[in-house]
Amino acid sequence: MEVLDQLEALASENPNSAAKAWKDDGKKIVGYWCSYVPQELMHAAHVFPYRIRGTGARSTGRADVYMAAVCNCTYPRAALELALDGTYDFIDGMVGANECDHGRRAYEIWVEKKGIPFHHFLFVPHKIDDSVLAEFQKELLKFKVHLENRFHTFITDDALFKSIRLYNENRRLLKTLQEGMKKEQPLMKGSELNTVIVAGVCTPPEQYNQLLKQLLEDLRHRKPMDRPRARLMIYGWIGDNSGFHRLVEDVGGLVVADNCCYGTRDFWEPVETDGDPLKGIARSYLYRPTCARMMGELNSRLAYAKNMIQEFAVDGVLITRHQFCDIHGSEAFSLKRHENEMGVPFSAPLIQEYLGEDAGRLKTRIEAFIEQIESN
Amino acid sequence: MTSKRDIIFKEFDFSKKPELKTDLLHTIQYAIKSAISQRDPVMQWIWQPSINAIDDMCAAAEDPTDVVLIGFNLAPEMIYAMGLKPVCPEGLSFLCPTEYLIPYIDESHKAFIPDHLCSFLSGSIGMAISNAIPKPVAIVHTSQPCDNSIAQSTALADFYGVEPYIIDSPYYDNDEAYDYFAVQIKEGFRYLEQMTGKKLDIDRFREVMARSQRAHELVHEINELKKRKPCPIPTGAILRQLSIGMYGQTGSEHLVRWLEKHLEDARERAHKGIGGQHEEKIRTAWIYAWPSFEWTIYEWLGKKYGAIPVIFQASEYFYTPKSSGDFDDLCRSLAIRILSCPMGRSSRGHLDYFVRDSAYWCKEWSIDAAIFAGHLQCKANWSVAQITKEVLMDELGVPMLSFVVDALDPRVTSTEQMLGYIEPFLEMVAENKELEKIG
Repeated sequence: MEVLDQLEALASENPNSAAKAWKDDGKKIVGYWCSYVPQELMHAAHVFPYRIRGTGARSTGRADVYMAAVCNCTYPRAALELALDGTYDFIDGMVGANECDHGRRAYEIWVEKKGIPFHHFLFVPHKIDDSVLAEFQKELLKFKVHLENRFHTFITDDALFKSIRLYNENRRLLKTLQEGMKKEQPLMKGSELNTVIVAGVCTPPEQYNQLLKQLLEDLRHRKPMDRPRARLMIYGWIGDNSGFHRLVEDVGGLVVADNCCYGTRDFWEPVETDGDPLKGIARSYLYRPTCARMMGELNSRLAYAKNMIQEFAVDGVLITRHQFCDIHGSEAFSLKRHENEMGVPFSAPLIQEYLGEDAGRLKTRIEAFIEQIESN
Repeated sequence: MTSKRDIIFKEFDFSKKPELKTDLLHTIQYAIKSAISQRDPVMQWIWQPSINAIDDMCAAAEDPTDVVLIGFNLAPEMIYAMGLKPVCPEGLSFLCPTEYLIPYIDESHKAFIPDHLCSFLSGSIGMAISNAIPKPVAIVHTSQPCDNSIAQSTALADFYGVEPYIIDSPYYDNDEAYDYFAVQIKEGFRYLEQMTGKKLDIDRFREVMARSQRAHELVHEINELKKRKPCPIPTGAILRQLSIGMYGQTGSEHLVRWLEKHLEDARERAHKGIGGQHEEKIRTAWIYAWPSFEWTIYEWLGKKYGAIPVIFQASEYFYTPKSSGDFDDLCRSLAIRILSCPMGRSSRGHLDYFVRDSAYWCKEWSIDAAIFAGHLQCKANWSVAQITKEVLMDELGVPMLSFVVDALDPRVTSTEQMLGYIEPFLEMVAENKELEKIG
């Protein structure tokens, strides 16, 4: 399918064709690190929000000088590598966040050692209640003002609502695609859907919107996938590519659901469109399905996972993370404790390296897990 | 190797499978008191914070009805103010002799806690799931200093089935950040009242905060004296005891009494112009972790190289809480105090805090050599090591050694391996100092 090829190219090239075209038009691109950074605000400031990823990195030698490889995740090291080798010179600014220790420090080191014309740090609370909601709203206001000053624009409420509606449309279309995975024989592979999701973080939303609509249209004419050996959910952190999904598919499984950053959490709930737009963004981003970084929210994550398991007829859950990720890593402790309540088996944690050197080992473990499901 | 060094270091035999202790707290208590009783009686007061810490935890375990679990970057003043008993699980990892701690670290790994989680925290989770820690009636955690503690908080709250209260730590240090934190402290008192049925006694809160203020003032006075050459402290071990006191006992009377004794001793030494037991030749700053499975190493470094630990950055304080006594002001003062605790400040915030703090301590305390013993699982601090090294050398000409260690677990880096890093470094520093003298 041509549209899938286009989305695949957008997801796998860095900078991709969309970024190059945007720059050719003389417009600005702002990189952002974390899915808790609202793209709507940047879009309303007429800049292209482009998620910082490690896409294209082959090694991490330069980054390892500053981020010790003995304990730091390969993913931000790969992104920092691309900053230090000049790959990211095409971005005009960057937004960091206290997403995790690794990503936060990579952002700081980038600013310190490489420099960048515009940088903003967005503080994202680690808990959810009304008092921190007000704080997050204030943080968003500072971010808005900083964007306005830097990019000589004024973000009106109307512009913000327009951006919110545009991104909500993308969320709706993605959710439609995701719900297609409920079918016994879906029309897409899990790896394809994940690639589509990743493309969304590095494509202007108007263009992405058109591509998603085209994809949904094209899928109507597509032959369903073969019935998989097992319908699986991924819980944890998989990074910004579909390598893990492909490993699952290589051994006859199919990823039909997830609780991941580059996954359903990001688009499952729309941003509110009534009232104060900044407050709506703050509330929607905070109260959406949470990342494991959010404290006191384990039960809501378990409930989300259980709902996904039931809605998508999941046979088993693959717990995964990148090496050295503490917040997702320790979630495995609770997931295994609550496994019996969830109704399906959970794998032991599958630990990945971002640069993918350990594919063979992972594939063996995934296949063993599928065999375990089949034997039950 | 040890015979060449004319000193005997601890040898750990990991070939034997260690056992989980049925009564860990009292086992630790006995071990600590036994070890201290073998020291020179004149020096035994130095280790009093360890005794106070474990005695308090044992007392809490004997009557756990008021036990509140807290993270080590939440000062205990809040809990003392409520008349409750703080138990800091990672504090217990810190106090626990290595041979007893290791099986708890391993136990946590069996329960799917990752082996890259900080051993202070994985050890504490291992203790919790082995029922070695009393079940709390409430849990209060901050989101500082790092992901490790966030992860631990989630795991412990889940294990105990206790709804935790989280005080979210801001990224910055400014008035807005302090207000944000202070509001949550106020809410935290309400949470504690609901969970325990006790009421906050404002007078007790004032008394606790007054003692906290006094403790910080004493630390500042001691720090000023530490600028003298030689550094007027009896042994580097006192820096660790100060750490145990300031992280776990601020607001208590016994900490104030101990700090007064510490100050008195430092004044006397300063007055006499003496330091500890070894002649001071190299003033060192341990700007991050301080491996604590083998304390003899510091004595050895003093004896052989005259390398005296002057700074232990993870327990060096800038801020002294001061308050008018009004409830709002007490909460705000406590907020600043918690956010200013050294690890919270340097790990949760921008890397400049760590870098600039390191430069400040090294400059003002005339440090000759900085040692970054990088706790293996500390992602936030390992990402500032190189920049700190560059700044210390470029701005101050202070060399910095960095190496991987687990502060609690000698299986990662043994004493011999540590010396393999430290000795050549100190020899280089000594040579450079000689060269400087020659001019």
